Amino acid sequence: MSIVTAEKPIIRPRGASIWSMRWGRFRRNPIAMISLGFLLILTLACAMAGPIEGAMGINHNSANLYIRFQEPSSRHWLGTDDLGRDVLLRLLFGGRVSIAVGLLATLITAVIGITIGVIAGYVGGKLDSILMRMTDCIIALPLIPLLIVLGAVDLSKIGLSREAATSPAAVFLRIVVIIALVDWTTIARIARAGTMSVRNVDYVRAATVSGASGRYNVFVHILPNIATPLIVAMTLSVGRIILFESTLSFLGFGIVPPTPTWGNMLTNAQELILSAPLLAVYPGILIFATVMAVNFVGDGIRSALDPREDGRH
Amino acid sequence: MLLRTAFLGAMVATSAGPAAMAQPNKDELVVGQLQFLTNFHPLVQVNNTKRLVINYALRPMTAFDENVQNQCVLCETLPTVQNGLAKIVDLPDGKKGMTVTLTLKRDLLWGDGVPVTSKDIAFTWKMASDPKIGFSNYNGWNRASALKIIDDHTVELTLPAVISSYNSWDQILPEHLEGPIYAANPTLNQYVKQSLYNTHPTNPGLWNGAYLLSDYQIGTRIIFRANPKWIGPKPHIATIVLSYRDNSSALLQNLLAGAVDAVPVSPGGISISQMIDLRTQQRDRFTYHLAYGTNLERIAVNFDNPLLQEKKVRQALLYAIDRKAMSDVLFGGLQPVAHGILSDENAYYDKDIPTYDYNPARARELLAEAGWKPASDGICIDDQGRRLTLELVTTAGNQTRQEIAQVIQSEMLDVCVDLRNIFVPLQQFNGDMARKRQFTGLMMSSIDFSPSVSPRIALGSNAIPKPDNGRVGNNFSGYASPDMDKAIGGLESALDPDTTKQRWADVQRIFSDDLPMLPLYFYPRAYVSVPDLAHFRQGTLDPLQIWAEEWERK
Repeated sequence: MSIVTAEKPIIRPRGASIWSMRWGRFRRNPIAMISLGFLLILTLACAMAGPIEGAMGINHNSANLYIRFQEPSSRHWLGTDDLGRDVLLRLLFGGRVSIAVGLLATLITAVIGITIGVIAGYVGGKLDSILMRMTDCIIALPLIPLLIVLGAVDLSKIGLSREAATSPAAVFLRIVVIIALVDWTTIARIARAGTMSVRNVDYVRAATVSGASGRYNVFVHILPNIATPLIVAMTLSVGRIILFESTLSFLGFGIVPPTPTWGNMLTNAQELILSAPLLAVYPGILIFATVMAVNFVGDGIRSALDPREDGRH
Repeated sequence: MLLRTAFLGAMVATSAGPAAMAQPNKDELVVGQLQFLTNFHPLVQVNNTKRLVINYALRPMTAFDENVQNQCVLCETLPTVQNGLAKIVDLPDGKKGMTVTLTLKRDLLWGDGVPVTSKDIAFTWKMASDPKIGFSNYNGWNRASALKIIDDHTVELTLPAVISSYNSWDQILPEHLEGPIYAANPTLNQYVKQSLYNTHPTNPGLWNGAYLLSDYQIGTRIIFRANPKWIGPKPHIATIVLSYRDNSSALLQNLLAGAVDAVPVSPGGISISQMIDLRTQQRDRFTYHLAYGTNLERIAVNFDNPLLQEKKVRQALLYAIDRKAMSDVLFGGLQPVAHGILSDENAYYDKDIPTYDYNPARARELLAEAGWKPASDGICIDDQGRRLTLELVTTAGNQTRQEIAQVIQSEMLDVCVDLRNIFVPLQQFNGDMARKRQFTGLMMSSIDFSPSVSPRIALGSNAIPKPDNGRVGNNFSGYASPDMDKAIGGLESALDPDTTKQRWADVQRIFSDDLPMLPLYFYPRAYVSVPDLAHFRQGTLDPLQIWAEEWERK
């Protein structure tokens, strides 16, 4: 007689929802958790830039040429920049804009790209051809002239008052819209490819035969199954968009100085590379760390959403 | 400190390597530049950037050298009242005028071998006098009311008034090439689009200088090669390449890497701050050419804006700007503060004019006198509730200008002025903002008042760019002052140094009181070049490219 030992069953808490299981899987990914913590702390610090500024008694935009390029001190923890402004405060204020542009533009880009890609991939046929040719046209357009054309649109000529058109909010939204209008193509192609491979699997066909609508199939079957590559593409977008914003600044269409962003701080530091290289290092490190953290969080989300990941962490 | 030192060491080491290995090509000079031309026509939309390019291949009739001496470039003898080639005459209308006799050098040829003759001068004069054309060069041919051809090389110009710049004349155009185009396209818009300077700029017949524009790639490079038809000294350097970059950082890196041999220092090149840093880091590796300059960085004030029509407001704005700090701290003292349109090194500078040294308290007083009081948010409002909000427009991509704009914005806030910076691409700046005067408040750019240039180009009421004058003129402020016009007229007619000095004093006094522009600082004439470049006369008061054939790589 042989003794068969049963495998130890995986015991899940009674009544645990799928989301709590996913959160549990995410929590068991130490790198993702550290990255999430870093992003939360960074976001909180940037959000608190105003009160920090008040507590330090310094205006982050106030220029004083006589204290430019100061070394770190108790008054200016990271020193001062080429116009005598506090570097730490400008990094914190800059983070607000850069993170907001990065996240919001990525979200809008994703919505546009996923919508177009999924429709093209699911419906197929002529509509797919039209949508993909349209995508190809956007990809083929030369980027800089396109940015110049989009950036030259005078908002005051489309109904906004001149003051509203040049307000910080309008400039911010213009950047987000411009980026979203040109940057959705990669996500669209990934979404289309994923949709085309998932729509033909048996359970989706079975659902269709059973009377499931296209919308049901898309939201219940297709989107969750193509989430992984989309999440990866979106996380890669964040860092690119942060740097994209600095290109727009250089052309004259981005966030106008003195309002800092990590992107325009990096662009400005190009000329100072001989005299003050750290002014490029600080925003560069933050962009790098943010991009890495977003990627690790994205990887953690991908793992958490993937049911095949059970038991690995 | 350690990180910074290591970083800088790595930069220098990697940059020095390739340059040290490369052997200089003695037949070629690569000059790095910013701001590719918007069009190649030498007499239309003339600005500092264009003058840095055109003069390699198309020479003016006369030019000022580094000793502030007017020299003949294309003419045989500089006409003066003393030598009789210029005369003060009585005109039929009873007024005093002048006749000026210009004789071209013998055997002067266009690049296609066609002789340069009086017909070319007459043709250029005819076009310049056509109100539908409107050239914008500095020493306009339209100053002459009549022209008589004496022979194939000599013309006599009649001037309707006695003017001090009677013997300063700019470039001429080839009648045999541009004549038919002008005849078929009689308006400026049509002509500029069809001109060979813009449709076929490599046609050698367009050029008469020591070099020919032999090749170009838009936005990237312009190549000049020695003109075999040039009658002057043969250029030592056979090929000059103007190599364009998007920004001054790229220009600097290319200089360090040996990809370019020379770069101008702002405008059109690296910034003065970059030059200062480079000179500190690499004193012996390059030659730093520096001389006093006449190119003024200024803020034009739009007189159409009711907020700026009040003189006290303009004066307050200038008191609010710490120009000395900019000059000393940002530019190491190499870009001296401008108190007017003449540098204090200029022989005609009037030291008795009022100056506007940094004084924010005085600025606030003047604003209060003009009816502006700070509101609860710190920005001034008047009794109609209008906020003192102004826009400052300047060129995007110019790091130094953007820095200056931010400093000014910060300083303006201290005196309750809300300044909004707008950085626009160069084309939009030169077109909509400048030529069409679409800036609403303030506009920052530079203008060169070289010795032969009358201040009329920027301060005369007839120099306001308008649709009916083809948008010609650099009076972007829209400043129209009968007193200034009269003072400029007096200056233009002054022929002896004492009278000239008095007239310049009048112009400077009115300028200093009215402030149609806010003068910031003067750019030095500066270049950075490889040390083997000799006879590089960067101190000339007119563009040094006029003497490019003298440059030599030893």
